[in-house]
Amino acid sequence: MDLTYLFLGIVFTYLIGAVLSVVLHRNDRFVTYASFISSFIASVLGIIFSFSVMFGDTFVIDIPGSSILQFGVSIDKLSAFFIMVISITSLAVSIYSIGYMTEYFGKKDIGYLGFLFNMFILSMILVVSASNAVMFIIVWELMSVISYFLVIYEHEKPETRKAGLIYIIMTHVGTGFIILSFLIMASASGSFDFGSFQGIGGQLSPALKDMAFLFALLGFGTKAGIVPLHIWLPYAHPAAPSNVSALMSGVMIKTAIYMMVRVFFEFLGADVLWWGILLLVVACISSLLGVMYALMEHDIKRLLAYHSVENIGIILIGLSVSMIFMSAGQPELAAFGLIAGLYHLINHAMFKSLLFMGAGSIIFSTHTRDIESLGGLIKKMPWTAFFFLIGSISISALPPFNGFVSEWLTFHAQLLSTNLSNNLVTVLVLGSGAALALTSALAAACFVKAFGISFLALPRTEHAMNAKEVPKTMLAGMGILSFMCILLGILAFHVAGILDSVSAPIVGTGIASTITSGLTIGTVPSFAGSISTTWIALLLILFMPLPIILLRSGITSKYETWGCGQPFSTARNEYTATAFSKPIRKWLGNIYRPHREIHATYANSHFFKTSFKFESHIEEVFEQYLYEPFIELTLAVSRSFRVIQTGSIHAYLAYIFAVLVILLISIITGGI
Amino acid sequence: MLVQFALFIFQLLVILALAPLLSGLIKKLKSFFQIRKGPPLFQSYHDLFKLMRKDSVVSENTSWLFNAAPVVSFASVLAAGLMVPIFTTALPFGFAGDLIAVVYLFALARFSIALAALDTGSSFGGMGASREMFISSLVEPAMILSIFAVAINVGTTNLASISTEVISQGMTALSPSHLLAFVAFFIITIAETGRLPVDNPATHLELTMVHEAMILEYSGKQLAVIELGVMVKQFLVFALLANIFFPWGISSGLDAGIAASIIAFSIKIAVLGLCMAIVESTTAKWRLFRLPDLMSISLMLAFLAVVFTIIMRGG
Amino acid sequence: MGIMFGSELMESIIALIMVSTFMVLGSKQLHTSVSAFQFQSFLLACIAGIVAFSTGRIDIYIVAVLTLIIKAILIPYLFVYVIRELKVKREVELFINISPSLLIGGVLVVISYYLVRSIGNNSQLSSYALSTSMAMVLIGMFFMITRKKAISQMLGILIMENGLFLAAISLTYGMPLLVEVGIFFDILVGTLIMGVLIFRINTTFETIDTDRLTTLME
Repeated sequence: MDLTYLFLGIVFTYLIGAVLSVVLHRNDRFVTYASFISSFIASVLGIIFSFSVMFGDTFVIDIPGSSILQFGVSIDKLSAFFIMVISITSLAVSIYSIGYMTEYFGKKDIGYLGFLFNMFILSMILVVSASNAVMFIIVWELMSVISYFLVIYEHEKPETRKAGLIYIIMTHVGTGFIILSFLIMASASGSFDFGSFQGIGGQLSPALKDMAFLFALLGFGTKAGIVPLHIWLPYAHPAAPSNVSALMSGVMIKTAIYMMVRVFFEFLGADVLWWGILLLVVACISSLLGVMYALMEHDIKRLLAYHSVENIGIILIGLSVSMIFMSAGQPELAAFGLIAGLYHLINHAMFKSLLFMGAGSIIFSTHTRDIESLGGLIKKMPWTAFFFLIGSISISALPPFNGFVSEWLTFHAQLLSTNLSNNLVTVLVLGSGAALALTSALAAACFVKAFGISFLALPRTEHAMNAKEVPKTMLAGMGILSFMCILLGILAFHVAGILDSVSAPIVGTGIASTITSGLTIGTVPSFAGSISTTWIALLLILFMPLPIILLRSGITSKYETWGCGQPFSTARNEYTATAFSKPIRKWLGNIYRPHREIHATYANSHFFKTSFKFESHIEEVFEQYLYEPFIELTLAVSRSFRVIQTGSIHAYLAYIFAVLVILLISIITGGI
Repeated sequence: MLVQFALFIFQLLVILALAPLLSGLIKKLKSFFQIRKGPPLFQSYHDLFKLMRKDSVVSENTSWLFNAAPVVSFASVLAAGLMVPIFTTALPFGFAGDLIAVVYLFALARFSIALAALDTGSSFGGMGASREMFISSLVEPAMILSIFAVAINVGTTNLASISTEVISQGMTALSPSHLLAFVAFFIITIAETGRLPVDNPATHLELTMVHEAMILEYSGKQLAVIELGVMVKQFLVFALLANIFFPWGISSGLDAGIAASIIAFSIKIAVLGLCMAIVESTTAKWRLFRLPDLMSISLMLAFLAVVFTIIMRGG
Repeated sequence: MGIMFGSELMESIIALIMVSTFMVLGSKQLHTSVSAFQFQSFLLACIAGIVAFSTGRIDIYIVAVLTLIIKAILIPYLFVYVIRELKVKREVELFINISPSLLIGGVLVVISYYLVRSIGNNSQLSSYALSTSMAMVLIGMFFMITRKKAISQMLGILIMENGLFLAAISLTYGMPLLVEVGIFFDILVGTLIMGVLIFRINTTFETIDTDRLTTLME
């Protein structure tokens, strides 16, 4: 019973935060403390609640209603896991926001943002706990609309309004597909209750089942940002304030994954082979294209947004391999794949929110998002740099941090496909390993660029020159998630056990005892392989002093960087982000389709240039070749219809008359 | 416990002591093909000791990361070294990391050095880092696929178990897919150890250098640590090549078999070094943008290895 | 059926033949392609030799020797001669770049494996050899499509022929000697004729770029 109070406590604390934000909105400082401390408290309660559900039983509250609209919450282990992810992230982001909001003091209405912020987190928690399709759609739309208002918070900028428009259109199209999928399932179960959807796949005809799957994939895929439905992501995430981007990229897109797991596994049963294959292909394309576009991006927040596309792809690789195993009737292997996917999900929530907060800190103190005009921040903002570095190492999947563990698990999930009897599927899944490897190598390259160009060497502009370390609350927010990144990395053996308890009810079998032993984490027995990030971390710490002892004695003198004999070396000599990504741009030229323009002005002779301007662009394939033709087509069709819009009242009367006559004729000929 | 500790120390000493020798050996073999005398076999040791005794000059643009990078890369390479069988398959930390973990530990070393290269603010550093990350992106897919090819043949990714499993399969282990994976891995070795035609370890020309460009600003002791780290990594990659694909002769513990194991390992490494010297002497450095071709050959071979394994199992 | 002796060796050699096919496909230098083809023909001769040894049939020995002489020595020599005499640019000119064409080659291998598997139940080795040879035929054709120089198209045909030879020798111990000899003669003459033709194309158009033959339409 006390869990009920705890859950209501979470809901009400968020509501109180929202109300206080509105009430106190005249005083910037008060309202900041009021709204973010209440979201902080609610997050703490959320963590306690989710843990008690995860180690206990399913938690249900029924709100009395009619038989069709049975509102209520039902929180099983999967929901609790997502509430945990949301709560940990929002805990850190809340603390961070206290400092970050000072940026907006006197410029914007903090109360408005505080209200939306609290409601946003609340809506996400309700999305993952809704027990009814109608209620789900309502809170899902609530979440979308609130996040839309958050995206256009800085609505005085035209590009923000454009981003908001793209976001709201895409998300509504997505919701339309979700409703279609739910309607198909409800038609078979006769109720909108999620409980009645369980295993509904068995009652649907194959064609309807496939349609329900495809609609759900399109609908939730839009929110998750899979290619080619990802186009809103690189617009919306950068436009929002950074603390909101951290939540959107870190957790909001994960709610789509939550429903994918529910719909694909629990409702539809995941027993069709091609579903898994389709999802695998989509996942590989998403991860590859996401990271490729991220590499070419110099806007730090757009870069991170594209990485969200990439990481959603990696999560979905785990999920799709799991679906393939489910359809082959091998629940143990499916459990392994699902654990890999869920592990990457929580990892991504941690490091992506951390990185977005780091990006926010950079913007906070330099007022620019362009990494080409940064540099040298590691000396001005040492702690931000340190936390951003931890995030970069984690997202690049380097041991012993958390990203490595989940990618390792994903690789092994792919290797387990040798147990499948269909050779072609095995080859395909193993081949997707190459895609994952390329993704992770490109991600490492991208974060060498992102971190190296913005934090290292000399400041390139005055923006970076005048940077100062951000307030302690912001550092604390980043510190918490950095700590989580390390913890999730070195305690892999423990986390895998927890995740197994989440996946076991879904796939029907638990494998915790087979994949974890002591401090190591391994694969299911038919295929051997093990790692222990704990020991890797210990060994690294053990070996680090070795070279330090060697290095200690002797004199170290400071001198300027060797500049090829030039008398001085300045920030202008530094490598730029464009130059850094050039080899990859050239290599993958077929995908990027780069074109460049060089403008030079000459003084008198052709040999003396007075100024020189270089521009290089790449094309967004899907935006250019999928969406734009579509928009063109829509516009063309609308234009052709414009002919009938004469504006003359006589014409409209004529239309009505014509319709009437046609109706009458049809009734006469057909009806009677 | 004591045995474990002894094995741990033994493995560390073997790696640290023999790594410079391999590098000297390859130099010597290369000189043989180029009909010159070349540096003495033990020159690498002398170089390292000389660097150890020198003072360091550090760029004033740098931050703590510049000093941390050699330490991190060295530690990660050593940690990887504890998971790679050299003379014996009894690895005290064999459980802590498999082949994939070893690859990612190397990636950690590369990541830290690439960051340090950008930290100096020199164009060379940026160029080196950019090229290195480019090459690593080319290598990684081929690497993972050839790991997959090996792993599905023997049903494990833990290195010691791969070696013992291949031995237990006897000559049947030398299947076409095994050989294809070997060729793929050999090409990867060229790239991973920065050898011709991918990178020229002996050059300091800005057009061609990759790894050297990254560590251009390092000097003295820090350079010594980096150089040793690179040598250890090269040694480990060669040991992987030898003990994954041709593990015969390796002993299963610190027992009498170790002498035979040392001889077998030396022969294998010498043959591989000879192959590498031949490749290096007969090819010119490739243009950077032709490397995708080389790496897609390796990727294709690894893919064929996977496909052949799946074909061979029937079904 | 199946070959009793050295079937593991055969498997390895067939794998190497596959590798050599990819070497032809993956090299940007004409010379390298030719030496890869030479290597491939040598391996085919080895296979013929093994088959001859395990069956003890004299005619297959003769086929092996003929393969060695004609395909591994004479034809590569002709190629080198033509390349030298015509001063053909050594870098191959292609419609599709090396990396993507290698990837397509990989896909072709998978396709041919599935084609062979759907044909019927063969023994492991023969299905393996058959899928390899089918892949070689496909890759040879693909090679001809994507290369610009007439000389590369000759190479493509020869790869296709090698693929057929592999299928014949490993499935039915080769065709009757007379047929085999006829085929050898055919290729040799074919190569010669094509060489002459290439000389003619070169003198007429000052290039052997088949891309330019479209001007014949005018």
